[in-house]
Amino acid sequence: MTIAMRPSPLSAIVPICLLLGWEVATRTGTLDPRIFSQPTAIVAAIAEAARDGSLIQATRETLEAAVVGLVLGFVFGVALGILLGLRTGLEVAARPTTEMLRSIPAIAFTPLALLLLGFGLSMEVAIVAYACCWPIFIATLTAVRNIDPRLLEIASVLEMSPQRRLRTIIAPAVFARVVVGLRTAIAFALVVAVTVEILSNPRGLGYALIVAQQTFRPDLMYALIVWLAILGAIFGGLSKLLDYTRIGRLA
Amino acid sequence: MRVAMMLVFTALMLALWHLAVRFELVNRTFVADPADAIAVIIRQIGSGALFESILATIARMASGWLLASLLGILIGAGIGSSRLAQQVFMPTLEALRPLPASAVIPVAILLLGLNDTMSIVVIAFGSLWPALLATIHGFQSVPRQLREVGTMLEMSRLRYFFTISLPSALVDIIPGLRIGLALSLILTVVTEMQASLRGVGYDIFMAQRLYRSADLYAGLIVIGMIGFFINQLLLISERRLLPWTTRRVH
Amino acid sequence: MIAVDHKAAGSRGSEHKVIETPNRPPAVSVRNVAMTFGVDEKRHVVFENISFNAAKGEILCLVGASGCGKTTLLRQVAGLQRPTTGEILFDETLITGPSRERAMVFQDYGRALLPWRSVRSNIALSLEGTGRSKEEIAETVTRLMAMTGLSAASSKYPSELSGGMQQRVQIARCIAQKPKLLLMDEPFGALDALTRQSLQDELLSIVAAQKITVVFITHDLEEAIYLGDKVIALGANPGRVLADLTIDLPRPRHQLATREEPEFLRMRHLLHELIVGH
Ligand SMILES: Nc1ncnc2c1ncn2[C@@H]1O[C@H](COP(=O)(O)OP(=O)(O)OP(=O)(O)O)[C@@H](O)[C@H]1O
Ligand SMILES: [Mg+2]
Repeated sequence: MTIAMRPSPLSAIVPICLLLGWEVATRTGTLDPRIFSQPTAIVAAIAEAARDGSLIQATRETLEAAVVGLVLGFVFGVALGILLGLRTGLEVAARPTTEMLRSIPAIAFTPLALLLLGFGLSMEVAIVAYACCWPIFIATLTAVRNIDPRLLEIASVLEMSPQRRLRTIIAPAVFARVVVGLRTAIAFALVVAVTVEILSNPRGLGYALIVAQQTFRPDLMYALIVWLAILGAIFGGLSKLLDYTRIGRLA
Repeated sequence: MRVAMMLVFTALMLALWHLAVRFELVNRTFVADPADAIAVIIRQIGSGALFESILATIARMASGWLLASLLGILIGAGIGSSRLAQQVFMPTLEALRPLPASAVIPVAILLLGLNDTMSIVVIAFGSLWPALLATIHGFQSVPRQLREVGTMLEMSRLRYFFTISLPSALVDIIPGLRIGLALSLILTVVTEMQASLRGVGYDIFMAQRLYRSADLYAGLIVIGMIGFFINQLLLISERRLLPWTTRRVH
Repeated sequence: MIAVDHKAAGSRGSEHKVIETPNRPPAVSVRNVAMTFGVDEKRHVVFENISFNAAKGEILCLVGASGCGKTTLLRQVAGLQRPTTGEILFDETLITGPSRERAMVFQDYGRALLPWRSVRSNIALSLEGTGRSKEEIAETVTRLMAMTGLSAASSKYPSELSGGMQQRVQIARCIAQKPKLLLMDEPFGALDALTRQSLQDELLSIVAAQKITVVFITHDLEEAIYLGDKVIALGANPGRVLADLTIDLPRPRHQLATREEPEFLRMRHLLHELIVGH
């Protein structure tokens, strides 16, 4: 999104000043260390959480929900997108329903999911899947819409079976756009999983975060936030990678 | 014709849902009859409770979003039009960007407590990113020719900003603001639930606590409506604000 | 460098010719200019030893192979770049940066207009911030739109215009700033033949009426001869002046008659041999 920049020593100024200022301010008592903690304490907390296994456990739980939800959302979004993309009349008729459902933030379903599925993995997966399925649905729908009608005519002339039509014509034409939708969905998956955990689900990194806050462990709380930013960057990197492999294959 | 198809399909879906509940295909305590949900909405309209909730939610969301948009455009314009500022700040911003917005909720609660200020700060923090990054991108990508037109006409910095770089960046800024608004609705709901602040998100949360499924579905319908209308509103204003992007012949 | 003293070859004079006398300094004076990019092994000499003058009110055309540095040279006259060595003077003062006295018509018209402004306010751009009143600006713009055949398109956006119309808007915007010097980089290169011819004639009549000096880059040898009082032929690798030709064709020029003149054909042969036959 942003123009590539050569790394410059100037880039280090801001983080170094922030970290130093933070450390000094909390040590001298300008900032309350019970609220702001300290960079050194945060590093220690990360190391501690990594050592006792709680960090790994929480990370596994969050990633489990994010990945399973993403996969389910992908399958559902693609299926719905292809179905409504090929049946134009049905898509128009269903538009108020899909628009309405799409407008409800997935997170708002947390209480309902809790009511239906109770605490645990499945309610979190359901919400992540709901959030992830919409960008993929929209991408698939527009992709299918933009298939050259002549290609579909050829398929009819050749009397292709629906499976063959899907494999030889629809899938290749749709692939590139769906990947774009998938990238958005990847970005959603982690955020939604963590948010559900913060809000209610007693598992994963989000829950660990809220517990750290409530048990007055700001060092652990900031440590988890740093860890989440790193995980977020990894997810972002994965979705970029997806883009490169796509380009590589098409080139 | 299109409208008739939409109406028929929507009615059909509602009827199926209604019948499924009626004939006990699903558990009534979990899945409410759509008729009951609509009855709840009508009752709440009558009592004025719905209006109050919607107003509270929208006010919170709009404050956070406006704050974020204003800050995002100001800071983004500064960073986007200076190469030096980009070198100094961009790597830090890039490192902070992947942080899930909701992860700052515990920090905000610790600093500010469970109140409206906390909610607005969280909403503003979350919707700041799309506005900020879109603005930086917009200012970075002012076409070279347009920059040179400004140079050839010996424009002052201020005139250049208002006649060339800001309008050119708008094409990126406005979609960024739209994404920010979608995020701000999400964070509004989350903070309302987390901090028990009056609003539609809280209504949904309470409905679940009290096992009143009709109220819960009613709340979801209302949130969906808010999301839908706000997005439509922004799409329309986008077309209004950027008329040259839609009136295209070639 | 082949010095072609065209006048000595004995040609018919023209009543509209701008007379260059030693006591009347040229409008543009390019003196021994060179441009290099990179250093050491990567050093690349784009052009060197470039010298020529353009008299006031004259149309000077630059022709030459692709890559010989025409655009670079023009940007230096505009003040957007500085030459590595040598100097460029305008009205006897060294050019150190852009100025409103010198207007630039960019080659890709599509990107040089503000896409969010209508035709009318794109032209008005160069008048804003000059202390003129709204009415005065509106009046000038209306007159310029009539002059360039844009009146009907006044409230359209650039994206709704054809290429020829877009280039008209850019020319009108430049004329609006009342420049003493108009710099044009292949302004008609991407247009179809008919549009190009009508724009050539519009340009000639505007420039004659306003007495503007023009430096015009083109790939099209005929266009250079048709428009120019002077044609500078540049050679490539490194860029250098091959010939400095004075065009003695009567004005006003005419698309058919001028192009059939023996002098026109002679010039065409000469330039063709210089540039293509090299
Ligand atoms: N910023 C730059 N860095 C390095 N080389 C450059 C730069 N700008 C131009 N050049 C080189 O200078 C040479 C001349 O470029 P220029 O665009 O002036 O040629 P031109 O005569 O206008 O060509 P054309 O007829 O294709 O427009 C080219 O070889 C180009 O590669
Ligand atoms: Mg060029």
